[in-house]
Amino acid sequence: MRFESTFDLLNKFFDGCCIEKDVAKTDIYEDDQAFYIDIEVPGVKKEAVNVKLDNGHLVIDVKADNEEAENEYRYYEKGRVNLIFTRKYKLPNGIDEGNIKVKLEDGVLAISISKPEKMLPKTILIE
Amino acid sequence: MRYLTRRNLWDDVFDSFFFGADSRTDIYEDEKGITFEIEVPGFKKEDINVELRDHILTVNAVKKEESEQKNDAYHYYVKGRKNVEIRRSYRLKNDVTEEDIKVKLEDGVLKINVLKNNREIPAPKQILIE
Repeated sequence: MRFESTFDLLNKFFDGCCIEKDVAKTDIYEDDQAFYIDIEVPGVKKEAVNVKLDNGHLVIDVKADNEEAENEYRYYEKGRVNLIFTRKYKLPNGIDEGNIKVKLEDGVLAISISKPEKMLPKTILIE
Repeated sequence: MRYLTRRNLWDDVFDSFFFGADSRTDIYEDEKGITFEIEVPGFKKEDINVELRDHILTVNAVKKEESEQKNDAYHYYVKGRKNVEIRRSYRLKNDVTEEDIKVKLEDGVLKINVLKNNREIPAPKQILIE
């Protein structure tokens, strides 16, 4: 288990903890409208993923356990790992579950969090 | 440890060599044949090419839209994903033909089954010395 300080970068919006960087590669980015978290979870089915909003934190639970299959095979190379991890990101105030969309496609868990009204960029008119 | 298994693998069935990102792979055998499971998260079917040439099985995956799509509008905090190209080759046994190979892409895992066949291996031909 490794603790990363990568998320110091995110003080403005996100707090993260307990990031095991090598387990599931992740992109976190934003545009004007939303924040995005893309996590690589190849081979993981929908049923093994649980995403919830808990007291202002986005909690992502992945539990893909594949142990029973391994015994029958003779392995030449075993590079894939069972994906079991929990991640927690602190979200900005004003976000509720209606702002969050989760999609699992081609082994990538894609979470988008649309920004609440007060965070959207405002154009100020020149008088 | 990796080298050890690679080494055995050479002695046994096939050679392998790698280009680009080293995506996680399982290679295993059961009574039906050999299976390769290569992790290719985010790749579409159209991005992946699998071919058999001169007994060498080559997997070539290139993300086509990635670079254009993720443009300047995004501000990145963490950029941990980097597999935009995966290329791997494995030497298969001489009697394997493309009919023995089944390829499936599911949930970001490319699964290649190389089925065992019972084809007769032609006996070596003696060449006479003139």
